[in-house]
Amino acid sequence: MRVDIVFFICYLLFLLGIGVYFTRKASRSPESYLLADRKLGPAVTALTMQSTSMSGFMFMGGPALAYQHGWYAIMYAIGDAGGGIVNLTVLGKRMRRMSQLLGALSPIEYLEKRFESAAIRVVGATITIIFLFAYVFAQFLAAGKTLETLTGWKYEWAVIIGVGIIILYTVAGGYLAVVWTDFFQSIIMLLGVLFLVIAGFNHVGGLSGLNQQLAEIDPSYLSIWGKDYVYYGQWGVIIGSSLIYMIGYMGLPHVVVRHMSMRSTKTVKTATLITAIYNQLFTYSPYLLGFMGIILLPQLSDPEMVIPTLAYTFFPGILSAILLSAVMAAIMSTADSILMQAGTTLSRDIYQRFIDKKASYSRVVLISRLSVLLAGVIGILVAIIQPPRVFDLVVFAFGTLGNSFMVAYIASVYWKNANKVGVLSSMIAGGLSNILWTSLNWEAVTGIHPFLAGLIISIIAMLIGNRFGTPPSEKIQKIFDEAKGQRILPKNIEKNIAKDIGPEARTVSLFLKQVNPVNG
Amino acid sequence: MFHFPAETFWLVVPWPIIWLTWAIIVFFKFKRDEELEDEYVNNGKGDE
Amino acid sequence: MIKLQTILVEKINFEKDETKRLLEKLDSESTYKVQHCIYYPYLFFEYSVQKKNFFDPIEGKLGCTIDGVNKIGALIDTYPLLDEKKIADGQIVNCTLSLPDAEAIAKKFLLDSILRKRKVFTIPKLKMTQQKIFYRPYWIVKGNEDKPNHFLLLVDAVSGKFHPLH
Repeated sequence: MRVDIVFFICYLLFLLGIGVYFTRKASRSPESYLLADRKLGPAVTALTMQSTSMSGFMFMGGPALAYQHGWYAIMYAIGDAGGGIVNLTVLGKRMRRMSQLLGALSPIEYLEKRFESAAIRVVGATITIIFLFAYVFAQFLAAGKTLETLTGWKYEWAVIIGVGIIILYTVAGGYLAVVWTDFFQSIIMLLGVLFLVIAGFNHVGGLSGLNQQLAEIDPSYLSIWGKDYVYYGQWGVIIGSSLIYMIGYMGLPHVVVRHMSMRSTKTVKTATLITAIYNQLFTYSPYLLGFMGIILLPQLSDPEMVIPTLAYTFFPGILSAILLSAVMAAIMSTADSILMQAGTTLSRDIYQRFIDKKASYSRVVLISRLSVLLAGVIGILVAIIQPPRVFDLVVFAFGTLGNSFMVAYIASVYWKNANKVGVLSSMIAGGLSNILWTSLNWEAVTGIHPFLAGLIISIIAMLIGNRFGTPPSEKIQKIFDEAKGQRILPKNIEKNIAKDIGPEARTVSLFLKQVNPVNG
Repeated sequence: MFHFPAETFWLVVPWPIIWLTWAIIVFFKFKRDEELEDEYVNNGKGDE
Repeated sequence: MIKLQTILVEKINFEKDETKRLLEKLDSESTYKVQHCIYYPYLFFEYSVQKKNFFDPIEGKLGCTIDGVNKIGALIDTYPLLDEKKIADGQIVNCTLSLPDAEAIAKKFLLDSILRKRKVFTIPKLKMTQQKIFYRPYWIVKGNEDKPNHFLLLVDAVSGKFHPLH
């Protein structure tokens, strides 16, 4: 059997082992199964967030875009390189605090409790189920196709084996299994891609050599306006391409849930640093490989196959061994997170919320496991049957989810008076805009990227809708203040505190309590 | 440089540096905030 | 009946109004109310230093204060301006550090400071020339009094430095 297939199978068994390892721990309580008891450290948080965000697109769609357009495609990478950093910086701390104060175990539950509205839970769950399922079908399909292409197995078997393992370890180990397998997947992804880039640069003569040869074929490959300067002057398109990945992840439930499972708010700063380093090494690479493909594989029929073809044609055997696993790692690390989120939504946001509120811990865990299994099995069936319309949804998936939820999550931690009417308006308007813009191709007419349009519209809808609602309850306002952190002191005062009289202050605080115990 | 046209160079190459700098700044800012918070909290809850 | 003590108090540079103004200038969005004054104990020590060194003679006087509760030393470069005052018992923070203990701490603290600042071959000779126990006045200031985000500050009435209280 080929080296890479053997490596891959061992790798799959390793992942399965992780799932089994966490089975007991995951079974302890819903908080364990759905959120790993909120105990994850910075490295795991950073890497699971990144590998979840980077799907098979990174190994197939991204390089294809690069192959077809040249350096324009790097705009997507730039956004991707910063997305995790922005996400953690903006939402990290406050969402971690607030989700604990609210007692929320799912990102949709978080929104309901923050804005005190069952309607938000329903709308949120609906959007999530439709588009996350679409997203997960696409990942399963990608898994099947990739495995089929790279191993020669029959498609149906490729889907069942590749996806089956994901389902098994996710059902068994829940969120813990997902994040820890993600941790290892992200390392494999990085190694795979870095080896290829280094080998590739060797072949083409470094970055200068790459650009020189690209220019010889077609100078417009070096332009950010796209091949043949197709987007010339259209800043809306260029900005939209970067923006979508720079901020879009803040609207994806299966990504922002990582803020809720961190050990503490102190985890954020280190996680941000790790994310930054990982991303600068990882995100540009697939696109660079795409550019190399222009030179090394000019006759390529399917641009999505740039990376595998490069690996198998040009690079030594060792590299290809890892490649299969690296590509599958990217797909699986996204798929398992989406699957987990789908299961969480079904069990926590629908079953426990609306059907059986008094369900015991073990029952909730059981229902969660069954939900994941159900979602997985449906996913496999859809990926095998491939009903034609289903996959059109994927095009919307990222954008619609992002446009629906981003304003909601940001408002939840930065706008005290954000209310349910505003949020609902933004969710519906944002989601709808993206769907319309994409399906009716309004980008061509307006020169505005669908995501950008959805973003602007969801913000406007939030501002207008909020006027029609009532301010949140006092309880929520208090939680909001507490989630901000201990900043009870005004900024200028805090900046000028004399640390050297800290000891005196401590003594005096005690002194005052003794002298006047009732004093507040 | 690297055979890039100027426009592409200036719009693309700075980004890795920008992102890393952002992360480093955030790291130290949050660190300082946390130290201040700890002092404030400990001052209140201190040797009781 | 209020018991009074006669103690040495450092001269106030920031009176009530001045303190309130200082804080409001820094932070115009909050309200500040200077509630009352408490007196914090310090032990002052002055030493004369003599070191016979051919290359680098050190001479002169060094002064330091030791926090009368936390035993932490601080170098001072100006002589504290002190007045005798009668202060109510309830406003005075008790000094829990004895004079002999304080002296030992002061000596060690000064030696450490000298050694850190200059390279010396021998331990300089310190001779104590003065020792006093005195009290520094601190204001207790309430910020944003009737609001939910109220807070307390300790303000040094001599230097104007402040620090939050709980």
